Amino acid sequence: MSIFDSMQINASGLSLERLKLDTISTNIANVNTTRTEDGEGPYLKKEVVFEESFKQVETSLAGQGTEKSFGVKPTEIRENTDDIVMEYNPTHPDANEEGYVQMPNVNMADEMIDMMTTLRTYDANVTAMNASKEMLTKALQITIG
Amino acid sequence: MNVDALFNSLVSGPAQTGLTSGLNEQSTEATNGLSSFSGMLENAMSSLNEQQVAADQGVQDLITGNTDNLHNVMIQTSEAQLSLELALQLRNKGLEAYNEIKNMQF
Repeated sequence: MSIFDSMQINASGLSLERLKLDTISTNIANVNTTRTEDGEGPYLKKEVVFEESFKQVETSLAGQGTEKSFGVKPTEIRENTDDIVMEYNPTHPDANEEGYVQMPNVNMADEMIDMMTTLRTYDANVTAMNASKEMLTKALQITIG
Repeated sequence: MNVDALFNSLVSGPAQTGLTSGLNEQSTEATNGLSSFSGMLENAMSSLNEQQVAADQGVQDLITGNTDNLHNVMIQTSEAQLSLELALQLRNKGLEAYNEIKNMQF
């Protein structure tokens, strides 16, 4: 249904923001996690990688079988390996011989800013979707008169 | 919503009964699958119903926990609502045209 395309495009944005917020939640939840399931080092900050999504269209407007930009799609969830800090804490169970612990590279301030950006982007997608719904509702009122 | 098909089925409907023969012979080949006005209406109604059922199923999936995307359910219900409103407007217009013809005085 092509008249609902704009809503579906925003829906992909909403799904992406949900996924981003999930990863931010995971990062915040693991802000002090010093061991992971594989036993190698501390928790690593996770980031969603995404790209523009395309869809095959066969409309007379865009020509035969051309690609049309159709929202956004996540490609992978990447682990960030930068800035693992060593913290001196000899009583920690994961401390090495010198008493240092590898702490996760999650920065709480960064996560909070990412969270606000995600929230606002979700909001913007909802606003755009409501605008397209309002347009369709307005178009339906053309017949009344 | 294919307006051309709607138009073709509207003009070719009476042409098949011979009432307006000679008016548009070329438009009959474009109406395969939508051979009559009632057939087209039936198609539209069944797709409308499919949308309502999909929205219903979406709400049920959300309540039972089979889906975790609240926004997709909201979009589905919005689409169903808009489709129903469109069908309602088309019905109103069709009824209006029918009444207009019915009230014709000769």
